[in-house]
Amino acid sequence: MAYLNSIYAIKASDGSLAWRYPEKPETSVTYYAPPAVTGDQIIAGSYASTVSSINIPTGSQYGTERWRYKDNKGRDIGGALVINDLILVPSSDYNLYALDMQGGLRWKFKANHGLWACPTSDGELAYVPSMDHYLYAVSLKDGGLVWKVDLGAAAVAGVELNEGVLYLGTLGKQVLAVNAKDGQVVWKVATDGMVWNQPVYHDGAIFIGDMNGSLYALDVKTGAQKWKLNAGGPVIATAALLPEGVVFVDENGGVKMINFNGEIVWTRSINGKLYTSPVVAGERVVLGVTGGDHLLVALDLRGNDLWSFDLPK
Amino acid sequence: MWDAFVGLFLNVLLGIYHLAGNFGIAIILFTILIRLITHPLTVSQLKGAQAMQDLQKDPRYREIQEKYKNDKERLQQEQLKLYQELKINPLASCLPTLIQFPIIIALYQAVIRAMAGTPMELHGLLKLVYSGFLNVATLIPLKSHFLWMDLGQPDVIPITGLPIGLPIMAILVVISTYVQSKLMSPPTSTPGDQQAMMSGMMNLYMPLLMGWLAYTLASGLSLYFLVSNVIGILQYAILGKVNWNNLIPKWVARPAPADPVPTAPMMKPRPKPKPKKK
Repeated sequence: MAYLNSIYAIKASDGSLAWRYPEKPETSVTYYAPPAVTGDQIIAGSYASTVSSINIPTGSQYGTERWRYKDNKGRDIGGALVINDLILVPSSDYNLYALDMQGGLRWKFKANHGLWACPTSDGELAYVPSMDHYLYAVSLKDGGLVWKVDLGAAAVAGVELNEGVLYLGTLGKQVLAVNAKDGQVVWKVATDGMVWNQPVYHDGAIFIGDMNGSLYALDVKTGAQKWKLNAGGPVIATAALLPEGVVFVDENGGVKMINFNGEIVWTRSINGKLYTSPVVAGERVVLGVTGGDHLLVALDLRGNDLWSFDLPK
Repeated sequence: MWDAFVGLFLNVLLGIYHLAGNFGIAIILFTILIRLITHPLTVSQLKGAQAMQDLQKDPRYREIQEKYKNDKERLQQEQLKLYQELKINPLASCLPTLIQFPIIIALYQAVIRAMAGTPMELHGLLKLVYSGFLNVATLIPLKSHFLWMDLGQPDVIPITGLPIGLPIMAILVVISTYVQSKLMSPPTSTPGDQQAMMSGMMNLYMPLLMGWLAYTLASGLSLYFLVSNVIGILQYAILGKVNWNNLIPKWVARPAPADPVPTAPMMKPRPKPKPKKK
C-alpha cells in the first residue's frame, strides 16, 4: 500500500504490518501510485519525480532501496507495469519511461499531455491512455509509436485487453472498444457520467461504472448494455472481479457485490470515501479508505468484516 | 459556501479559457476582469487612505495627540470627535480591502484549482465545473503552454552547463512586487516614523516572499502575480496615486542645497581664508 511518505506491506491473512519502506520516511517524497511487485523487488513511483526499487526484506521490519531513478520530471500516478524485463512508468511529465531491472533508462515515449494511467501490454506493444485525449500503442522494443487514436476526451484510467481488443472509458462520457492491432474504434457507447475507472472483463462482458453512479455490463462484441444498476454514489474506482461476480465501490462508501447477471448479492457501507479499487487477496476483498475510521478494511466474499488496518502510532 | 464562491470564479475563468483557447491568456483576461470589477472598491480604499493621511497632517490632530498622549481613553474620544467633525470614516480604507481580500483569495484558488495536476485536484475541479455551462470533455486537460512556460509547472529555464536554471517569472514577480510597493508607498514626512519603517521592511520582504512562491509554485500562479502587480500599478497611476519619486534613489532625488548646510563636523565648509594683509 502506498500512503503518504511510505510503502507498507500488510499481511492479507490478518491485516498486521509486515514491513514498511523507508525506515526513515522522507517528507518530500509522497507515494500515490500502487506499487508493482516483481520477483524480490517492488517498484514504487512517487510524486517527487522518483522511481524506486525496493528489496523485499526477509526478517526485517524495513524494506531497503536497491536503486532509484531520478530523471522522471513528473508524478507517478497510475503505477508501473513490469513486462519482459522492462519497467514501464507513466508520468505526469507526458513521458512513458521504460527502465531495465537495474533502473537504467532503455527508452522513453512522449505524449502531448500527462500519463495518469498504468499502461497495459500484450508483450509486444504497450497501450498507453493519456490525458491528451489519445490512446497510444508503443513498441516495447524501442518506444516507437505504432498507432494512436483520438478518444475525444481525456483518459484517466487504464485499458482492459482481451482477445486483441482494448476497452476503456473517458471523461467524455464514453466507453470505447479499440482494435489493439491498428487502433480502429470497434464500437463506442455513451454513459450517463464521466468514466474514471478501467473496465474489467469476464465471459464476454465488461463491467464499468461512471461518476453519475451508474454501473454497466456491456457486451464486448457490440457494446450493447446487458444490465445497468445504480451504485448510490459516484464511481471512481475500478471494480474487482470475484468468482461469482464483481465488487463495485462508490465515493460515498458504498460496496456492492453484483453477480454476472446483474443481481445485487450483498451491499455494505464503509465510513469514508472509496476512491481506490478493491484488491482481491484469496478469499478477501481489501478496501482502501480515504478519511474514514480505518485505512484498510478487509471483507470476506460475503461482505463480512475480517480485519481493518491503521498506521501504528 | 466558500467552494461555491470559488466555483463561480473557476467557471468564469474556464469560460474565458474556452473562448481564448489558451490558459495563459485566460489568466491575464480573468485577472483584468476581476480588477475592473473591484475597481470601485480600490477607489474607495484610496480615498479613505488619503483622508487618513490628510488627517495626520491636521494641526488639531497633532495637538490632541500631544495633549492626551498619556490618557488613551481621552485621546480616543477626542479623535472620534475630530473624525465626526471632519466627516472621516476611519474604516473607509479598511472595508474595501476586507471586501477585496476574499475576492483575491478566490481568484488565486480558481487559478490553482483549474490547473489540477493530480487526481484529487481533478476530482475537485470536476465537482465545481457547471456541466450545463461548460463541456468538461473538451476543456480538460487545459492547454497550459504559454510563451516559454508550462503553466502547471514551476518556471525554470535550464542553462547549459549549470546545475540551476533561470527562474524568469520569479525574477519578474520580485521586480514587479518591489516596484508596486515602492510606487504605492505614501511619502513620509516625519523622520523616524515607525509606520514608514514598517512599510519599508514590508517593501523589502514582500517581493522576496512573492518571488519564492513564484519560484516554487506552478508558473500559472507566477503569471497571475505578475499581471496582478502590473494592473495594480496601472490602476494607481490612473488614479494619480503613484509616487514615481519613490523609485528614484534618495541620493539622486535629493536636490543639492543652494548653500552647503553643515550636517556633520567633517562636512563643515572650510572657512574662507582671510585676505592677507599687505
